[in-house]
Amino acid sequence: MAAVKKGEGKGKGRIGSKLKMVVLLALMAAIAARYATLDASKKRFIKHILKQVPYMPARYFA
Amino acid sequence: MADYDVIVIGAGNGGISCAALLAKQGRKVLVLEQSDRVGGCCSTFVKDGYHFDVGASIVEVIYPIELAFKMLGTEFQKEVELIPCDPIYSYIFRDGSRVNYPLSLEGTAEVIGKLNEADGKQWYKLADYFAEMMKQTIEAFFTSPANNMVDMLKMVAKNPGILKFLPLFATSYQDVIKKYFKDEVVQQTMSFQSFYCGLPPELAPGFIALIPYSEHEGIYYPRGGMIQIPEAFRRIGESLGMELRFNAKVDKVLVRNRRAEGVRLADGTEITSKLVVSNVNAKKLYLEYIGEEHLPWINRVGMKSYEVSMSCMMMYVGCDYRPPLEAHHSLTIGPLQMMNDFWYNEYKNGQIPEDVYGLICWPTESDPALAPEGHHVLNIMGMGPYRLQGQSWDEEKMRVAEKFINELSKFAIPDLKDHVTVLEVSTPVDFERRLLSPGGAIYGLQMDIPAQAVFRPASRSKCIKGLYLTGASTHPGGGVPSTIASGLIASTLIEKYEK
Ligand SMILES: Cc1cc2nc3c(=O)[nH]c(=O)nc-3n(C[C@H](O)[C@H](O)[C@H](O)COP(=O)(O)OP(=O)(O)OC[C@H]3O[C@@H](n4cnc5c(N)ncnc54)[C@H](O)[C@@H]3O)c2cc1C
Repeated sequence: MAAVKKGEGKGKGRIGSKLKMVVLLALMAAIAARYATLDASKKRFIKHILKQVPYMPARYFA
Repeated sequence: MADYDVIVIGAGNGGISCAALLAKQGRKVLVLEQSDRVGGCCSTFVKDGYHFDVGASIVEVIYPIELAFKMLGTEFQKEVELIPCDPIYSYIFRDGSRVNYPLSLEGTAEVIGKLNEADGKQWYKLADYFAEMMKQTIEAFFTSPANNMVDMLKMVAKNPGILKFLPLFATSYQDVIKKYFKDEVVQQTMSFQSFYCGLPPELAPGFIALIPYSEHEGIYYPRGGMIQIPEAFRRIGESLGMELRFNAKVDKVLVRNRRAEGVRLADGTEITSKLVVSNVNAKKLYLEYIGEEHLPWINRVGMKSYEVSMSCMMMYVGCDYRPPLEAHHSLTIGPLQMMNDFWYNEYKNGQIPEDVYGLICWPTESDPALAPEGHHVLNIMGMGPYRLQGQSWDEEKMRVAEKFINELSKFAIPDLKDHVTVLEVSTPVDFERRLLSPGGAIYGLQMDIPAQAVFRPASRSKCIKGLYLTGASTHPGGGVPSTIASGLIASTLIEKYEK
């Protein structure tokens, strides 16, 4: 079994979580860029749906 | 011991169909209806020899209704004579010209093709796509319970083909129509169906674009008026021992230890039952008739978050001539964008629309016996918000109706204003008074994507034991066939869980 040097695992974890953060930010930026290209009508449709999303868990139990 | 096995509150389509099906299961059923007739929005009243339909004016997608009658040991068409409507509708432009869509797909392609050749061909693509959707969803979605995620998974497992139509939940009605048709006039003639779910074209979910196709699978008018459908359920239910009381308004659902045990009427009488089935607006049921004190916090939050569906104004017109119309249904609606603008500028701002956006139903075209000889009935549906800004419906209603009729006389129904013999008007406020539907809602709760299926109030209550829901505010939503499907679903769940 290969010996793991002290701190090496932690370093990998830090890189992993940084990578996740970068991917997440890139994804959010892509979504925002895509949203910005939509016409006003589609934006209104999306907003109309998103406005209700926070209530969906409570509605599920209704 | 309880007085009844089941009490059903409300004799609308959902309530009366469920009651008949429960009587068929051998249960002792009592239906309590606050008005003096069955059917709620799908009913008919008589004035001076004219038979006027309260709300619903045709029935389509009849599979759930056929199934309900089959479960009762009979056939829909044996109990109710259905008159096919062809053309499906006539679209009347402001210059008086018309586009009539016939029942046949080929005929419709030809009509669209005359407006725009390429769109005529596109019609077949839309029809093929939605025909497939109808086939995949009608049994799996419309007549199956959607109480929880397990039900949804069962739906998909039974019919994986429905997954193909998921993108329709992420797009609007308007986008679907625009995807198939490029011609603005063609789009305009299909701008109204979004309101069949109570929303304008850009906010209605994409799957509602099924309607311009589904109408071509057959649209019907029951001979004798729309009330014939709930009357048939009543007749069969009563023959099976179901009891029905009119003028019996329920004020409270009796709840103990989170279990429904009966109801209290407006006159104070208490009637007990093992189970309660509600056919009233779900928001009103939970927050008023049951009371917040009986609801866990999550149910309170969920219930309060629902918006009631759109309202409308009905004008019931008796006339002494044959109106120059060309179909059972005629539309006087504007282009897609105009209907969106109407929603934001007028409807949402409590304004009575300036223009005559409406649906004209001409039942005597299908069934002449609904009016005295030589006379006709027109049930005209106009758009109207429940709350008017700075005005009152009671004061405005006759003026608005007369203006509407005068305008229609100019381009849609020439000379109508000189032939009116009877005029009755029902505003959103009247709908609320007569049917106790909050906000005059025509489809219970808004029929939006975040208020569909498992996100709509459940058919089998999740917080009150022994309570079941039917009608427009539970799955699968508003409309005559859907509410009858809700009655069928509730009765099936009761059979399963309440031995
Ligand atoms: C103007 C209009 C046009 C429409 N057009 C069509 C159409 O062409 N085709 C179509 O398929 N659908 C149409 N619809 C929709 C369809 O009519 C309804 O979705 C459906 O009929 C509603 O059925 P429901 O089971 O929800 O009961 P409802 O019709 O809402 O009836 C509920 C019943 O409960 C009773 N009630 C309420 N509160 C109490 C209480 N406290 N105690 C006792 N009784 C109570 C009411 O009096 C009523 O009879 C239309 C609706 C309207 C309003």
